Amino acid sequence: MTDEPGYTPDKLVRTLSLPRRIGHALVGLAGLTAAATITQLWATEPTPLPARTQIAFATLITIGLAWTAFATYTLIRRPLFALDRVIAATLALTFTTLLTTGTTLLALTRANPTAALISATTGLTLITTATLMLLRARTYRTALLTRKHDLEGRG
Amino acid sequence: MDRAERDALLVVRAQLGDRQALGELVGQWHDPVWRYTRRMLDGPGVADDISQDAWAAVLKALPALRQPERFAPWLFTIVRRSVIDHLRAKYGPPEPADGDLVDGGEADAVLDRTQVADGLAVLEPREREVLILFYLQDLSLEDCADVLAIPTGTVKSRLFRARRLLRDRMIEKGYTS
Repeated sequence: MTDEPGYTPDKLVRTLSLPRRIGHALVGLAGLTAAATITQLWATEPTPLPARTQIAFATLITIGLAWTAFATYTLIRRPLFALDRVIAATLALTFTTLLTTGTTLLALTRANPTAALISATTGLTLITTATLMLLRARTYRTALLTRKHDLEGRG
Repeated sequence: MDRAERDALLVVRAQLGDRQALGELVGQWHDPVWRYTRRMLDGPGVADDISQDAWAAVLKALPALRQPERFAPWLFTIVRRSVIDHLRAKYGPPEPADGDLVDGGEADAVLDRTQVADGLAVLEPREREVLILFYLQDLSLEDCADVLAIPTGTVKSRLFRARRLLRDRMIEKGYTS
């Protein structure tokens, strides 16, 4: 049999490059942050917004969520390695902390304690989830590093 | 360090997120996977499609592989599943119960790798795959059993039958042993 594969190993792993995946994670988190911030602005407006502004806000929120959905879909279709998980969890923790702080402060400056409470509660839930993700990712990575050292010791 | 241990180290490094190790691992198994797929299927184009689908499944599942030293049988289990999905129409109803190893006799005569590779195309997929895994991929009987999801005794009897069929077909085609 003399024929050869019509693709290279490089093609198989190219889509898994770390910078590309970090880029997707950042795009997703940026979309989520933008959508959450605009939602918060809209929800805390003291007076009803004009119809055109409402349409503009709704469009921007949809765009932000669409980027988040796209990035999530792209990331979950591929394997998440230990380093990817640690980076993703760190990014999630950073963004959720910034988002919670920003939206809660925004609600407070607009003298809207209900919105501030909702922001803080939701934000703390997200921060807790991100923290647990980070802890699990680091534990997983440490276990793999131990395994790697064991295997290298055999060589 | 034997092949299984070298693979295990590459797998663990890849699981950690080391892209170079991942590239080495894929590079090392790219050709064997493609050759297995190619020998099981008609046409290099189909082999390209099916083996790339299989690699996508392998890479997605790689972080969850708990026994890195069992990488080769795990890999071929996934690749075989892709091939079987494609060949399902060609696979008949389940074969009659295989007995344990049948006495070797004349058909058990040693076949070299070249003869096996040349004669594979004339065999049915069930016989073809066991010969590929055992003779061309150098998997052990136990690993073949894992990949094929059958007992080791069944692998032995299937190998026996495959060798006999291969020998008969090759004699029909004018080969001499």
